[in-house]
Amino acid sequence: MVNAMISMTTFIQIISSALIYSSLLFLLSSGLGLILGVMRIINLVHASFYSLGAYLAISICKYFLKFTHNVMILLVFLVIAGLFVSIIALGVEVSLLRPIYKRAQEYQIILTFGIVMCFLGIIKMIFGMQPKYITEVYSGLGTLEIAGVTIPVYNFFLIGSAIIIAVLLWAFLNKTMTGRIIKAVAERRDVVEALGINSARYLTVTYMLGGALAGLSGSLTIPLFTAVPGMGIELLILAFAVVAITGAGSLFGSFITSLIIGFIRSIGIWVFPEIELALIYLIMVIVLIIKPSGLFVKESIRV
Amino acid sequence: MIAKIRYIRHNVMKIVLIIIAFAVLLVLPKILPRYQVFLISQAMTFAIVALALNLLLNYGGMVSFGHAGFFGLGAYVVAFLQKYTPIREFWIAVLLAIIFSAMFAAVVGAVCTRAYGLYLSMLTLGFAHILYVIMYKLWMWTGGSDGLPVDMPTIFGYDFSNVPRMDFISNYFYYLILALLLICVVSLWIIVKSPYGRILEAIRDDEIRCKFLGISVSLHKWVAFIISGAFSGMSGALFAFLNGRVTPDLTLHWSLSMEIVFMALLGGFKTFIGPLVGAVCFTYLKTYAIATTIFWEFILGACLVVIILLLPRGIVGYLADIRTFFAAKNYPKEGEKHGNSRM
Amino acid sequence: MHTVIIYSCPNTLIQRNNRGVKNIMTERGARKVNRRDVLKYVGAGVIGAGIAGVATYFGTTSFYSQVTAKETVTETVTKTVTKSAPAAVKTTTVVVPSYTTPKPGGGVPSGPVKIGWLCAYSGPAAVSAYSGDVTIDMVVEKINAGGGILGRKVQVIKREQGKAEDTVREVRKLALEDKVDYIMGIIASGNAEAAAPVAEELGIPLTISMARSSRIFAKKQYKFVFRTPQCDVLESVNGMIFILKQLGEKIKTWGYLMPDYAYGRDIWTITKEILKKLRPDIDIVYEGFPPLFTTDYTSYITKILAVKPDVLYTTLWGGDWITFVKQAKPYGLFDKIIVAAGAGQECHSAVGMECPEGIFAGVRYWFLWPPHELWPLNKEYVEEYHKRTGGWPYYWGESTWAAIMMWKSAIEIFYAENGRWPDFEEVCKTMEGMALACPGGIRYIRPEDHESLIDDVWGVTKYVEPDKFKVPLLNPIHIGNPEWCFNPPGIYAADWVKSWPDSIVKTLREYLGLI
Repeated sequence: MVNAMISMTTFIQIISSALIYSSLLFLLSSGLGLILGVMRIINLVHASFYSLGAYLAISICKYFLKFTHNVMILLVFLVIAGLFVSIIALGVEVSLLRPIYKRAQEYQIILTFGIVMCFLGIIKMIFGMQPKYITEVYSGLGTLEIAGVTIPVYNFFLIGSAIIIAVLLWAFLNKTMTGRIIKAVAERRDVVEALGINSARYLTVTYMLGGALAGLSGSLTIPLFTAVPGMGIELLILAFAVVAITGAGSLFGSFITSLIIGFIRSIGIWVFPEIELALIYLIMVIVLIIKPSGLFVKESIRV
Repeated sequence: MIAKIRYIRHNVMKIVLIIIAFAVLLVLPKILPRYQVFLISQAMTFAIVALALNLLLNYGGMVSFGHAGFFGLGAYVVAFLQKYTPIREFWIAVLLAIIFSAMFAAVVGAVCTRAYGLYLSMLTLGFAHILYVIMYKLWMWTGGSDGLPVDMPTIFGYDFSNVPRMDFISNYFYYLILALLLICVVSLWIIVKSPYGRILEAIRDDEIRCKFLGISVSLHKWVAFIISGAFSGMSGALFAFLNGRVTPDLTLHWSLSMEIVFMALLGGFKTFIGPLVGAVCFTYLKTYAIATTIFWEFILGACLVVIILLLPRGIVGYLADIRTFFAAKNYPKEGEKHGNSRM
Repeated sequence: MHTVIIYSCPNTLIQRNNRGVKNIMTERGARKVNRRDVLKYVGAGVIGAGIAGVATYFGTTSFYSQVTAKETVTETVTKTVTKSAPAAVKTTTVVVPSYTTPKPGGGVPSGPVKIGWLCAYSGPAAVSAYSGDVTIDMVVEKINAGGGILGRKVQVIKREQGKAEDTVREVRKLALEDKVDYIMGIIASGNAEAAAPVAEELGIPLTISMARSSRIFAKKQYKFVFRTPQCDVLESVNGMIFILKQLGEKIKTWGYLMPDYAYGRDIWTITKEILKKLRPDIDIVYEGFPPLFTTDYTSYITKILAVKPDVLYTTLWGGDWITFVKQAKPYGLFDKIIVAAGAGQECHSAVGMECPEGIFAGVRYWFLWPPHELWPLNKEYVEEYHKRTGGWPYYWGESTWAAIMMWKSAIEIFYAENGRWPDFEEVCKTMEGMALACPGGIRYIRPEDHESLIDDVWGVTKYVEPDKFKVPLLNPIHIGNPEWCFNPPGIYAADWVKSWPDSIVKTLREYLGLI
């Protein structure tokens, strides 16, 4: 059907669109995987945090656009909007999730499902049902010419932010005390309790962190997309597939898998546009059958 | 014989209740408006799949988030049959739906018996989602996101295809669903109370001990999957005829799986009849939430959250709690009776 | 005094000329489409094509200046309207609806009459359907101010259309629980396709006033289901002729970016057949099918830019079109490639001032056509709409206006003839074959398949008086006569295009300047 040679321009274009999608996936799935690994719940509310991050970013930017047209300041507000979601996550965790930690798993997951529905309604109430978008941030940074290819500068910002966040996350989990305790709680919560550490507090911190990551994934990518109510729910199942393939709790794995999936999708659209994402779910099931704990997690099956 | 009489005397209240409920249900289509009859039929259809799920959930100890897959497969089998073959016979459609769902459940079950806990849930979710994506993507054959239409069937050769759907439901189909629901309830009751059911519960409680006893754990779990899948498929087929339209978002989406699990939890998944109650309540809850406001998701979600937090054992469990509260003087001290609860 | 001619109380003007209707269209029921029928239609189409060609030539903005002061308004209106009205209309009396209602003498049930309105209030489709929503509020308010329908006030029950299954559920609820008398709306073609059989089996009149896939009526005959907007066949055939005529030899390669569902696929098939017939030399070098309501078009954009077709035909709509324009503009796609937007009204309604110039937009109804000086119905509708919202109405609004006015007029006509309120079947029978004067021209409801025949407008976006209009206008503008760019009932549009005989193809190619 198409005989486009892989020239330098096409190469760069494929990489560019792949990296954008990978950044989005990484930000979304790293939070989900973190919560899954540490707290052992499938946090469906992640979808809502993503949506909230996006909507908050749009609202804040639209408000401040009245005062300034400096795009750099708006970028900062994007990040702030994303981080603000962690406060909402705190509220959710303390009030709704904590009472049912002792219950069976299916209760927790259904509860998160209920919370997602609530937030969907709340988003509709507060932000209305029309699609929302901000173009100023995306086009305000201008474009860059690389080897004859026009790439908006915002793409670089997004990819750069994802990398920086990945590095920060790694540093937090491995170099700070809090991070290391969180990793310990993920492995052996009872031992941590035996050492006298209040593990519940660290669970809360983890949840806030996951919420912040989801919020950031929403706010940082919204200049490219349009915000509609329910935008997170479709993306959630994909992030979930990434987490299932990677295994819960492995940051590095999350990074690599997101990259791979982004490239598969980009190349797939190039070569055979129909398939898009159907392949990913098949891979997920295969991985779950062969190595249920995920590709990048070292230990064997653990419940 | 004496045991049987004692059983009946002990459960007199329950049996009388069931008979009254059945009598009421028989009469309802004559007195209620057609739309309400339609709703009740829908509730009964979901009751079947909720009961099927409960076999795995309560008696098997396996949390499945993929029951929408079995349900939707049954519905799509009916739709495909109508689209690609001239067969309109109801019983053939239902039989094929059951067979295909059971086959799919066999595949899923074979894989899932070796997985535990969260991974089991994720696997079931994954399988159901693959089915969803297939039906969505292959729009040439499956109608894609718009789905496929389903006409009225012929039942035992009696042709209903020209009857308006609402009349068909009120006058005939309602009773058919009621009968099938009854058959389901009785069959599942027999399965659960049979030696097979006991072994399943034993596997749920302590798998390793069962293995030591020489019980083939994988086989029993696998059979549970197949049974559950078969009933879900039948439920899906009934739903297809009821609704007239089969789409992936309606029958295969993962949120439907969540809703089915919620129905079981709402009614009280520790009991046998709980999921049926839960299915009926949820159907009405959702319908009237949607009718009340455009922000129905909030109402539905809030109800879910409140019910999960406040009614840990579902509606039937709550009613049982009320009963024990009033009969408390006959029971041992607090903490001893319900010690084995998983919550 | 032209108001006397254009406006009238429905009572005096209504005499449906059954002879005229029966002459041209055969009765519903068994109707085989044979070669002769098709040729007959296409033959009429050629003549129509000639007329349309003239209309096109004059259809640029210079047409507006062609109207000299010497002509009376009546003459100009007749010229304008009959030039672009279907042939059937010329022998049928045109119904001119009004907001007032005659005083009933009895035989009218008491209590309000209820309309069910299905619209998209959330999601990417909401951006488009807004126009229809405003229109129904506006029209119902004015009808009630004028006394309602035969003295009964009109109540609108609004429901979210959601996905196909939600629409099905809502239609059932509206018919059975809320007991409405009429259902309107529905913007997504899949939802309309799902809802039509349900309305038919419930026996309640349903007018699809926003969805446009021709598939719904192609093979199935409905008693109770109607459609008011121009369907996608009109858009495709008319648009292709316009594009091929405007760009001519410059086009060597062609690309498609269509949403992956029924509507996108249908138009893709039809336009491909047209290309095969009229310009087999054009290479189709790209075909992309992003899923409906997907969020990321960058991969598609990069591929398109690499392949560089001369023309990119796309029918992305609603939120999709906004996202696409947003993502494509920084890449400079609109400067490098000519984009033909089948769902062109989105350029104006959704994107507005961000829309690039030079896009070939198919808008169905254009708020400046027919010209306001000549067609006061349009002037009144557009001005009222603008007063309410500050924006301009698009085809969803106009079709919705037609849907509700058609029904109101049908009730009043039936009452005038029979002295009682019609039941559902009678209303539908009265609506069939009606030629209704609407803001967009004269709309003819074909009795066989209940499709609407009315002008279809295409144009090229250009900013003219941006401060006054706040959206780009269309210049040049092209009006398509529905009679020749629409297939006869009972055949799929793609098959109809395939069946065009060589003589027709030759005439069209001559018109396009290719021979």
